[in-house]
Amino acid sequence: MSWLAGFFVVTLLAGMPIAFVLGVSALGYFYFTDQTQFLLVLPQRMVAGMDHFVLLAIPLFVLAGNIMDVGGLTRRLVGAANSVVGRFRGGLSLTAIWGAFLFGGVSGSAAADAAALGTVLVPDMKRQGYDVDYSAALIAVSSLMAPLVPPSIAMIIYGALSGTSISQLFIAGIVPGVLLACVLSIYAVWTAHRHGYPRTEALPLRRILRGFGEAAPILLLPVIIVGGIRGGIFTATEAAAIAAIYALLVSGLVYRALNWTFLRQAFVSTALITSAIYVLVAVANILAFIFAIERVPQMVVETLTTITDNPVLILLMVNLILLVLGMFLDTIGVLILTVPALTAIGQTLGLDPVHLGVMVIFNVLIGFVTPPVGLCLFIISAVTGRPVEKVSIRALPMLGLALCVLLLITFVPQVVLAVPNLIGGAH
Amino acid sequence: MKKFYLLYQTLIDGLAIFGTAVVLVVGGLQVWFRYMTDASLIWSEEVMRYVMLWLVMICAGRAYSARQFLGMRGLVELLPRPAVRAIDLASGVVTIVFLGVIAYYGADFAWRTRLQTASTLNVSLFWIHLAICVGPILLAVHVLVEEVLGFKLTPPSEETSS
Amino acid sequence: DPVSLRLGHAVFEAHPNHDTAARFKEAVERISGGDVTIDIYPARQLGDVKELMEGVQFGTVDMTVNSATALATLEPSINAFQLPGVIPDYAGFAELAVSDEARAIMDTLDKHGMIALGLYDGGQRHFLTVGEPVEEFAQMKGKKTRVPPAKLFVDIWQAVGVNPTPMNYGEVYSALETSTLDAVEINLTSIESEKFYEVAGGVTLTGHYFWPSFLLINKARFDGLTEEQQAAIREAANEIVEPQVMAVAELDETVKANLADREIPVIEPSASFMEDFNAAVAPVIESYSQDPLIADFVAAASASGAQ
Ligand code: NA
Ligand code: NA
Repeated sequence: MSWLAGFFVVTLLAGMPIAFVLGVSALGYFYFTDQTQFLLVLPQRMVAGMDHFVLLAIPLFVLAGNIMDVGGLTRRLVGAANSVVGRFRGGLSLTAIWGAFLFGGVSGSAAADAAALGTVLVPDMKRQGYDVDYSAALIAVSSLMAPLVPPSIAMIIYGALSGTSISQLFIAGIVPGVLLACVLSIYAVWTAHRHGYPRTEALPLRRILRGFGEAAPILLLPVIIVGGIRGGIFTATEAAAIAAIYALLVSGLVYRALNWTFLRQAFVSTALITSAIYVLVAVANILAFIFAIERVPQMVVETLTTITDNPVLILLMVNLILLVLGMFLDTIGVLILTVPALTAIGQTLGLDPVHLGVMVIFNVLIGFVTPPVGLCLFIISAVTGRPVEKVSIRALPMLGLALCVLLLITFVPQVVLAVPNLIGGAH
Repeated sequence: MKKFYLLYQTLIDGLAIFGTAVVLVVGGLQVWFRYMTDASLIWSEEVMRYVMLWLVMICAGRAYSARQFLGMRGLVELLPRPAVRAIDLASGVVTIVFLGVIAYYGADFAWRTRLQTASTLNVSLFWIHLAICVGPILLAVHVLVEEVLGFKLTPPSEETSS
Repeated sequence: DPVSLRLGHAVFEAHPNHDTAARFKEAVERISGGDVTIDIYPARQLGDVKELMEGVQFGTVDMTVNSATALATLEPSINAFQLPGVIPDYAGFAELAVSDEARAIMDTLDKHGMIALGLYDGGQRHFLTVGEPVEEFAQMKGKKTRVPPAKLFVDIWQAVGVNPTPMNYGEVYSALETSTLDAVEINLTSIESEKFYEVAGGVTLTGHYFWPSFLLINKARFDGLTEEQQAAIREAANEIVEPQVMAVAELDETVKANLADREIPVIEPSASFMEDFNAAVAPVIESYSQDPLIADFVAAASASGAQ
């Protein structure tokens, strides 16, 4: 294991792409521990990692997001959110938060959320006198709601890896998403009062209704997704295909915003993003094999349960480990490496798998906005042209708030489970 | 050379669009046939999975050049320019070794599984598993050109396409 | 020298296949006096069904307990063990599993670099419905039924007349709950472990086929062991067949009692139901019996007083 860790640290610090960091570390491990008979396992594990039906949700949700982006969807969502919350002090920052919430109902990934909203909103906020680093940080943290509100690529992957019901996870994420939005809203209003950020004029009800009317075809999407899954028309994975087809129809027929160049861009970009994710999933699956033959999950469980048999402390330590991993790895990498150990811990503690899943996902989401490897931080800094460090510092207080929500859902399972229990009847 | 690369890029993009479209259409058909008719599609899942496997492997190199493979660049970028170049060169070489091993054993893996057939399609798994040989080779070529030879393959305008 | 073997499987520890692994571990360590020890890696730790089978073939995994059907794409004669109605009951399974005809089929794996040490069971399959349980054969018609995506099952269930629907196993619970599916063909222990009873309208005990699994070992690894070690492995593998199979039968009774406690109707199909069922699938058995190894096994099964 020390070979693995050594290669990992060196290649990570050298700035190699994470997928290659994992691959080179695995190769170094097999070579220097004299287990070259396992080299044939490498391509086999990579194929096995990629050959999962549920992973097809990734390209399809990304495609839906891309089509909606080129179809002018983001502007309409932002307009709708602004018509309601713009009247309060710091209105535009509230628009960012609730725009991210609405957009999260369409998009399955925080990265897509951060890119789309950052492009649209940051210039506006700058014009109104908002601090740019603060605006960028706010959008980065708000983008974490995308994988909490259904659909969610992270939940699909967690469900696939752990055998947890994906549709139950989808529903269970809604309340934590709303909580995060509320907590961030309070912080944004407080900040706005401190810095005297402006409000926009209050709009008459007629204008609000018109804004929502224009955005209605998009706002319908989460309803269609959840309704279609609950109504037995399609599965959570297939919902991604329906979302993409719906996005094509809405952008093309309702908004008439599609042309060949846009479509080409949407499809190619989808394939490239998906390709990078799949390669990462593939390589992480090699690491999962090493962890299995080294019995890492058992070791983790044993170590944790030897330190303490207090479930509260164990859960806190689980949160801590996930947060640290999330600093260095991306969501899918963390999930593939830890889910076996986590399911074992969950069984030991008798946790509800849906509750555990939402807790784990919330943890790895926070990794999106923690340096050094925070995908959403990278994206937002690329979009705004601000240095990652500056944005990270402004994100710290909001991260603290997100951690409070995490603690709440860790220790009060009912926050997560009430809605699925109400709708699903199961568990 | 540039012309050749543009041709290659057009070809990959074409396959990317085609593959994504197939997954989308077959996914829609799967729902349609199960919900609207009495004859669910048996082969649709397998087609989608295998098309996707080939699609991501064919696009992997191009995705690398489009800066879709993220790493932790913060520390490295603090170093002086020549040092960064040297580290990237070393990383590139190590990466190519890794990808070479995958391509070599990937071919071996594909060959050893040639007698298995897909469960619903009458195809030898050799043709499916061959993807794990082709993808790493394409990736290695991109890494070679960018990190070892030092050419940037994608115009900056495309870098933030995510 | 003492030898330690890695045995991987793809199921959780409540599943009969894990029981096979655990029984084999106990037996071989006892018989060999600790000369052969087994490390079990449960729950897909070393890979899923396909990777485990390939792993034993390549020698990257020493042993596995793996669904037999997964190997039918390599050797079609393996389909013999899951032709509907051919193996009559658990006692018949235990008897046929050690027959010469079954051995002849298992030996076809030698040329793929694997030795099938024995045939065990993962549980007889029945018909679980979301709505009212099926009481007549005609009621099965058109039901959207989750079947594993393999040619044999599609052939069988198309002959029965249901609408065979492949679906990722992890999505089956939700699909039943939301009526995306009308039915699933499943073993009783999985109804318990996957909590399918929460969404079940009823279970019809069609017992249409079993879910056999092989205990596989890499051939080169096996050939490299001493004669005593090989003998201990063979003996342990044989010894556990009957107790393992009968233990599944017992588990089934527990599950039936649990289902009764939960007031889920469990239907014993009438003789005419099963006659209709068997008549419908007869052409499938006939067509698969063109393979001489399958024909021999089917003949042995009916000769054992099965049908
Ligand atoms: Na979402
Ligand atoms: Na991070």
